[in-house]
Amino acid sequence: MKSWRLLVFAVVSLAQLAVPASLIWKREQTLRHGSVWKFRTAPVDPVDAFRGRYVALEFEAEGQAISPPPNFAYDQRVFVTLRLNAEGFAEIDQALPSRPAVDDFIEAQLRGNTVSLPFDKYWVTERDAPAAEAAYRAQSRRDKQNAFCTVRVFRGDAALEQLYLDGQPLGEYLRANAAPK
Amino acid sequence: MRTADRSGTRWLLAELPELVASGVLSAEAAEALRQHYAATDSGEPRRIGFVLSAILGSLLIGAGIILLVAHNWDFLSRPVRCAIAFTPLVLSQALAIFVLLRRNESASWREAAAILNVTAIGTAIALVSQTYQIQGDFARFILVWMLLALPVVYLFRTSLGLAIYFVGATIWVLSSKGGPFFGARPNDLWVWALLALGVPAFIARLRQDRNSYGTLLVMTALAVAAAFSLGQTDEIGARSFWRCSFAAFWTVVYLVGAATFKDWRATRPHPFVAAGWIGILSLATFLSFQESWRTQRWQNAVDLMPRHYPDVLAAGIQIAWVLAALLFAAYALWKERKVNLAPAAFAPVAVIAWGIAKQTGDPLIPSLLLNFFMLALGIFTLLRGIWSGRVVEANFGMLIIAILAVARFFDNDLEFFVRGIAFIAIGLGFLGTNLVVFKRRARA
Repeated sequence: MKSWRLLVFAVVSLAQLAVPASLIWKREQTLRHGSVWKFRTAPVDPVDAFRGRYVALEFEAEGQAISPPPNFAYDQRVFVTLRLNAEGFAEIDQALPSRPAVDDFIEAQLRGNTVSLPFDKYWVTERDAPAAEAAYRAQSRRDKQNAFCTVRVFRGDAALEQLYLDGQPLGEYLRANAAPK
Repeated sequence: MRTADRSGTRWLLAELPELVASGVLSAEAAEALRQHYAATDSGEPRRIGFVLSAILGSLLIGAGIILLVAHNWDFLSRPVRCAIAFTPLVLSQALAIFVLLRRNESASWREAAAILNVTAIGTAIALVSQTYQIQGDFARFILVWMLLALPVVYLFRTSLGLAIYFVGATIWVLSSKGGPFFGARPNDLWVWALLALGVPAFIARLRQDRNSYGTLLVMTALAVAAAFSLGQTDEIGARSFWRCSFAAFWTVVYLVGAATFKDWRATRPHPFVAAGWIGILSLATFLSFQESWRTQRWQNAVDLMPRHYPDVLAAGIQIAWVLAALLFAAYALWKERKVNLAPAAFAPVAVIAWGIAKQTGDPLIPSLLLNFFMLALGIFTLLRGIWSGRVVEANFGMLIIAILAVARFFDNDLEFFVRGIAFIAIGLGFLGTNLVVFKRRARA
């Protein structure tokens, strides 16, 4: 009686451990083997950008008009390949109905004739949150667009690496621009 | 023995000395009563208190752990943060194994270990996601969490865990869409499969301890989950049919309380009776307005001719709810003559009204039908109260009629003339029934 419960729970425990472990493994693969792409952020509505402890990100590439695969509905999953634009930032090359044979593609959701990229939050620490919010707003305005994210891309997975403001990683930027106390 | 109200038992025990003194009971009889109630009374409250404090304690610890780890420690390296994410999970698993081995007979230990483990699963996934900036959608997170929690619910036979599972399924169905709040997608129909996975555990709880508060909690969570899932299903299937499917839902809720839990407590009806009454009266009042039947969708072919399989399936689920309500009502009519079954007529009335509205597109007759239903329900309950001498029930019947009257007072579709006549009729009815009640009481 006891032994079958224990056995079942052992299997359940393994499953419980496997889920977060598989998340880590997949992400580590992407971070190790993926190639780096820079995504420039889109101008944001300052009120909407910050929610609690993460920066809500929007990217220029998400405003780029693409030609969706035929007969694809809103919100359906597509595979997006990337290309570099003249300034060295990532642009969407094609939105495909099935997995391409290359390594550099992302799974994204179709939004009419644009796509929604699978990363839109940048988690920050409680301590840095207010400063990060102010800095991101200042660097991502319509007249002054100076923020981008580095993303590692590997076979559908996209790992958000770092948010850069004014060419510096968020943490360094905040230290350099810390308000004198 | 029936689960007695503890306050009633306490009152009886306090009365005993006086009863003995006045010679109503012999000293032996009083002692026998005292022993009888002491025996049945002692175990239960202490057990409930212990289970409650165990659950509360584990919830607090779980929440504390979540808050601690949510404080995104950027000064720690990724491996350290991952180790921290796994720590509560591994500890909770160790505790769970200990409970399975040594404390399997204690409900409190099982509840506590299961809750801690379920919380730890969510914590581990959430913290790893944060550490690695993994985005993923919320609905999928909830789904994975609940599917991992489900075996724990079965292994540890936990009521709170099962209730959490049903709530989780509800959260999943509400968050599994990109569009507006009720912009459902056929994907949502999976929620019925999710709920079905928890039902055997619920049945086991019913068999083991049907009149406990734990079972009531699980049943409430299941009912709430079913209501939200049915709402999503109505959006996918025949849209105008929600009137019938929710009439059926509230009928089922009422019947569960009234017909299958008659032995709930000595002095009170089951909470589902009250919930069913509230649901039935609210929805019936809403449908008694012509406005609620005025919709463009009657002309919409989609309404009864679904195009894809999810639509057909959704329509099937809607119809299944109506059938379940009708069968349940028939069963209750056959078996349980003593309970008030009039509210169960709501499901067939709503179906007939919907059919008429569908055929004619005219809102007048369906709304009139609902008006007559509420009036009949009020009068029936009133008369039932008068005949059986239950003042509360008679008053409740009058309250139903009063609700109907207030609804018609705010009804813009009726002319003042009609409203006037109706109000005079209801007023006369009130005076008449009161006269009857008091005459009968005076005679009795």
